[in-house]
Amino acid sequence: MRKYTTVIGLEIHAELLTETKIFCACKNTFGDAENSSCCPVCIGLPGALPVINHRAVELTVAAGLSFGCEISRYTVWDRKNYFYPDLAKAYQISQLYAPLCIGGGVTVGGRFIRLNRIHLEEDAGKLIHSRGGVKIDYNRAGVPLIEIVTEPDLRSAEEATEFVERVRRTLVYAGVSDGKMEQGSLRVDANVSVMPEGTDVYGTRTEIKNINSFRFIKSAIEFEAARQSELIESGGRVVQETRRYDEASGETFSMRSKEDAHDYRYFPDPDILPLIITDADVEKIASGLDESPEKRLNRYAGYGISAIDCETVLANKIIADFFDAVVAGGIEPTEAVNAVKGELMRCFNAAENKDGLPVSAEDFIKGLKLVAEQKISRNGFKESVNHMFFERKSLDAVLEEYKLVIKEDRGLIDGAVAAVIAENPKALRQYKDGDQKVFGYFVGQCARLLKGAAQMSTIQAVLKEALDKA
Amino acid sequence: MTDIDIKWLARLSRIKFSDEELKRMQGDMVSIMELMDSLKSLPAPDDADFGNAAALKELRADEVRESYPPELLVSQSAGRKTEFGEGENFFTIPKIY
Amino acid sequence: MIKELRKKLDARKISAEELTAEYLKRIAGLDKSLNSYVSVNPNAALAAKESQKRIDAGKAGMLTGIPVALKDILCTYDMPTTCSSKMLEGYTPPYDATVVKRLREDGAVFLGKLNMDEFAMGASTKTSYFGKTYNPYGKGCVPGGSSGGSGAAVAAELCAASLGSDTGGSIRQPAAFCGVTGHRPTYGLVSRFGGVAFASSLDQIGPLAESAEDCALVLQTIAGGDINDQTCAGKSFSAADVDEKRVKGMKIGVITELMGADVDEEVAAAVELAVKKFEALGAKVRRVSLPMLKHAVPVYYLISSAEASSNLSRFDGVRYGHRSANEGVFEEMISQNRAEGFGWEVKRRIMLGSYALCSGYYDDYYKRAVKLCGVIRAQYAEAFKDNDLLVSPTAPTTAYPYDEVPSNPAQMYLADICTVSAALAGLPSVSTPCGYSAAGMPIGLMLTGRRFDDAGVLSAAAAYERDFKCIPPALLNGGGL
Repeated sequence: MRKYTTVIGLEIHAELLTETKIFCACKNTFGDAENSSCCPVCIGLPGALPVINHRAVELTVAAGLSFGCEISRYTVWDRKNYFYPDLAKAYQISQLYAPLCIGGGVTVGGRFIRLNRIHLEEDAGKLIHSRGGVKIDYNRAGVPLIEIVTEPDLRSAEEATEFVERVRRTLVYAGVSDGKMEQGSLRVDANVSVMPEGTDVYGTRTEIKNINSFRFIKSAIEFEAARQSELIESGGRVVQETRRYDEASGETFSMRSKEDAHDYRYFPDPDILPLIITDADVEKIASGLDESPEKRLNRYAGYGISAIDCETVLANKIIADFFDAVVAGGIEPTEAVNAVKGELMRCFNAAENKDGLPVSAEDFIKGLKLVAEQKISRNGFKESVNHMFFERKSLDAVLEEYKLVIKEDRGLIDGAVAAVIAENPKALRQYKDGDQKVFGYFVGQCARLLKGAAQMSTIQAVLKEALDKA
Repeated sequence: MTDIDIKWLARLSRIKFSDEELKRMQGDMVSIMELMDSLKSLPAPDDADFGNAAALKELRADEVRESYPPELLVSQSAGRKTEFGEGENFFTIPKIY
Repeated sequence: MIKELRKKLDARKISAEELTAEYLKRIAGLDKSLNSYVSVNPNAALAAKESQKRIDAGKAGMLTGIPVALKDILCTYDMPTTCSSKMLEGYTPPYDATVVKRLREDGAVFLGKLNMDEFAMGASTKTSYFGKTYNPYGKGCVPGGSSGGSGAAVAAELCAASLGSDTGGSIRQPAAFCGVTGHRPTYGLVSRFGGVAFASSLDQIGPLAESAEDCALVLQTIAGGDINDQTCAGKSFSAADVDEKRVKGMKIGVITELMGADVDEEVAAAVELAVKKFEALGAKVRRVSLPMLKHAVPVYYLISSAEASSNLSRFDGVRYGHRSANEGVFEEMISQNRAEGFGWEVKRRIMLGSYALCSGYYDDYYKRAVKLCGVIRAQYAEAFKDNDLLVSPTAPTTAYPYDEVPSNPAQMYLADICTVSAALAGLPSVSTPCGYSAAGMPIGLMLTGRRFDDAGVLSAAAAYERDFKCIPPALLNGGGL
């Protein structure tokens, strides 16, 4: 079989982190009782009118800025007309002719993947199929969505997966979306075609829908690319159609061609005034943006942190923000990254709720400083982070409760030193003869006996004194 | 307007017509489109006035307002209720396909 | 009349309950033959009682206790809202339209919902699912449309004032046919929230009443910004700005394109006479030409039908509205619901609108119409450089018998020639009676002004009305229909 290059374009939908829906003031919510966050506007009652949400526009611009898009200074919302039970008005308010963001792109593995556009539109309701019929819940109807459309620049399923992860991360960092595919706040449709390797003749593409989880992006694309290649090799033709990915079998299936009579009859929505965005508007939004992952990466690299460690920290904004706080609090970056990667992430990875950190940066910094001062041991620090994280207590409370502070009992140290010297007459003679190296042996023996009950410096001082006297 | 157009247009509009109705509608559409086509010869400039636009700061603030009670919203729907549980507030239809 | 009623109510010469009871009695007596009401408000007496409490407490607003009626296109949470369609038979919205809310808050008493052409599509009220409304001036004539019930009820004194809606003339033309005053506000002056949408860029809700002054009083209560309607501009209107003296020195242009061969001789003559009257009042009158108005009708029908086809897609029987007994798969079900729920004219407009928006036709029809609409606006803007008001007949004819409604749709649509262009340009426009045909049917004079100069338009109408002798329908003097 000839070799084929996979060509992929993606359409990524992300729900925005606004308080209210895009065209009405109902709560933008997930998981509530059916139809409990609805009103005449989002149910499409006669006489209701859309009123666009300021924050939804802001967040879309923020997304556009994060991807280097051009922000349109005159933008229009259009009606996309089609009939489906989850679409209350039988039209979706979207943007065709003059979207909010144009162009832009994302670098993945050294390759620049171009975006075509990002536009702002409304989500549809949810359908629940049961034996008695179809139930419709419009809670999700009207939730603001951005649609990120790429050019067909992606060339492998792995690249596409990494691209989605990059996009997700950027959206989370910009505060635009929480990017949770499992909750449906991030959705991916893939346009896949194949072309014979070495040529640049694009093949017919199909659209793959229903990729519900991050891990299925790769398998869905790979299956489809293989299906198309085999089809072409056996003399068939790829049909331009929409196909549905089935997780159980790992295959794509043609969706019924209900789409025949689809003429969306787009026209500018007369209920929504075209929007003018000024330079000042864009600047204000830009200045409110948190530092992007890419900018942070450059900064971390400047600290001398390895690329792998950078990616580990950046994978989750909560961790990256924590790391920045620890560095800002005076801990040396390479030490901070080790502590964050080690003690903190050990707990974070085990935690069920990954929406926040129960440990404050202040307490973490304080703990690290205590280790430097040898007031607690490294192990003690690890224990204290664990207790703080899972019991939600402060550092002081934890140190107190679990007695992690090294309290030096001079009598105990003297006793241990005396015992070690008494048990090692041969080593004592070596020391007296001028062998400095044996001092380390004595220190180790004392430390073992004391089991962390004394700081190293104290042990050394007491030992030296005792050895000199002996 | 040919036969195909009118049937396809009816499907696009999701309105069922009987055969006689389709014929009648076609006749009406022919007469109406004659009138609409009288515009074809007129010069239509590209820079026509398209009306007002809004500024970003004039848009609605992102503040939650109380939603309507779901029972009230669902109460006007003729959807079958018997199949589903008491206290459920879904809109229902028999089937999609 | 509203000011007189206000005085009587405040002076306790009549109570709100008595006043409402009078109107309800007249409705019970006359409306059997007129059929202007789709539904009478069973709680009208109760509402009157509440209004009386306000009057007693000295807290009456201008409309407190005044009995008004609402075109059945306006959402009322306590009365059905049918748009005179089988599709919405029995449908009661869970909310009030903003205009309804404002009237309610001012203590107006709602007598009921008024008949109309189905979904506001028509100029005769012939397409109502709930039967024809008859013109109080009789002879089996149409009251005009689509706010036919609104015009007839005012003319027959079955309400002190009514609200209608105007997309291409649906307030003004029934006002003209029924011999009352009807005002189409500047687009954006009055909130559209809760008015069932026909053509979103053209719809406006406005008053019909016995006089321009009454219209101004109602308009004052309903106008103004609304957070629920982004196209509502936030401008206010005050009836105090209506001043008959403004006519002196006004520059008035008579639109030649609307005084052409398609206008009845009697109508043109009445308008010429009215124009002379304005000269006598101190206005300067001349002819003005807006050539694109000749083509306004197809421009209007393309734009309004396109928007309507989209606005009416939500009527599929899923969340509300008529559901057929046959229940098939989704596409089947909704096609059947819509086939059964919509009348022929509505179906026609939906088909035309869908066609105009289809890919392949969009540029030639819808987009083209929008561009030509821009030309119409520009021509109006040009005309308003040298004119304060533009004048024409409201309709080319007077009201005609129901069996003379043209069956050819294009011919029927062309009768809207006088009214559609002001709607396309979003301008304030009032119709006031200026004469009667030999057969006794009212003739309407239409005055159009600059955007947000509703006060100027109503001032001129009020000035004209001061000396115009209205002939009430014979019906009111015991005559037959």
